[in-house]
Amino acid sequence: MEKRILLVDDSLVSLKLTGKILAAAGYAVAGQLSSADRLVETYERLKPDLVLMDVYMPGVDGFAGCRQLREKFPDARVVFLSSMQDEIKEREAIALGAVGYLQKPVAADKLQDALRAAFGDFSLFEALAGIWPMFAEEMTATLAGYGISARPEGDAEEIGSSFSARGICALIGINGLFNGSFALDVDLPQAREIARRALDEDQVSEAEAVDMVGELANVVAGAVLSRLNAREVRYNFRLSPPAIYYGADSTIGLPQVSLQLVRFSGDTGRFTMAIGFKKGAKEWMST
Amino acid sequence: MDVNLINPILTAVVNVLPMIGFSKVERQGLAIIREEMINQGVIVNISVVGDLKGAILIGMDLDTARQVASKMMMGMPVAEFNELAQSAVGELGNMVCANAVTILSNSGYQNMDISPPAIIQGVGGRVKLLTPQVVRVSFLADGLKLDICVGVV
Repeated sequence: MEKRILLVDDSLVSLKLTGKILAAAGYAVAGQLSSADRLVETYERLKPDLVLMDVYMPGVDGFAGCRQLREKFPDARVVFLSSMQDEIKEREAIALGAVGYLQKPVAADKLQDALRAAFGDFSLFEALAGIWPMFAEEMTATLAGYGISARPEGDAEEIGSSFSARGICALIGINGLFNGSFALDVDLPQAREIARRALDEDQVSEAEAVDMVGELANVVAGAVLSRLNAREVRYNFRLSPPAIYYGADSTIGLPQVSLQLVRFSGDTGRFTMAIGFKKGAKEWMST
Repeated sequence: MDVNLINPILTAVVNVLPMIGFSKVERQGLAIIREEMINQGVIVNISVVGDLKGAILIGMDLDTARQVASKMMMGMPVAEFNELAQSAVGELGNMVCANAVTILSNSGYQNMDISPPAIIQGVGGRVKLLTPQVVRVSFLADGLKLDICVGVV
């Protein structure tokens, strides 16, 4: 049976746009409200499966509405849709028990991801276990943007907690619902070639090649983690800027982390990336 | 970076090292380094996110790393810098950074979080932090030299 969604937004245009996306994705609009003033009564009458609600509205705003609703119906699912998005607002939304927070204008696929997550079709655990293909896909897409073709050689390998870095290794810390790390290791000649193509210059310095690996790691991790955050607000992933290690073969150990290593090959050569989260994260999720 | 940010981190070093059994902790010079740092053997890398972002590194040579690991493990002899020893040195990084984050939160830097420690082994390797400045402060803890490098913005 199709899920029924109650829309709350003071903008008529926004109500219409969102309604169209929902209809196209196979959801039914249970009703529409232009403020949260009568949210609790309307929810009680219509019994929707989910409330998709603006944050800033005249009268009772979205956060106050969510609070009132979940006091009376603690199981009510609320996803916020707002033109303003920042970490503080997201945290406030999590504290109120919301299951999603999206920024307007929302693309159809993002809205669908958020709704699937809200209805539990997409568990936090599954997403974490399957995170490496998202990194791999993003890496391939980012390099394609520089005119470079590179693909994973196969599935990720479980490599425990350490790996050897042979080239320029950018290391990024990940914090959020799960803490972890992302590393990208690219040899110098290849980093130069990537920088040369990305910058569209004949010659690049070693410093530019080193920065290129940091930038590539940052862009790829940032894109993937933003997508995961949009699907599921509770992830609240944040990235540290990269620390870049190079100039000597190094062993990189992350004693608290279970790493997955993905080898790539492409028209600039072979390189590797590693992604991992703190041990115990999976166990914690399955309890 | 604001050089004043270094103080809470230095306080954390001075707080934490005695907890694991160092009796004499002396601060040596402070330097602002604009070029890259060189790995003397082992670097503990802890990333920071939140109101301040960047990395805190603790550098030492391999022999020092073994001795620090031994201290962390109540004096157990450490002949080889194996996974257990790495984990112990990583935990020192964790303790220092967690302490620093607590002090920083009392000076208005909220929402700070640290990532799991990474241990980088490789003598002569270079490290680049993408922050405009990195501050390095050296400590002598019972004669063992530890370099604390902070690059946060």
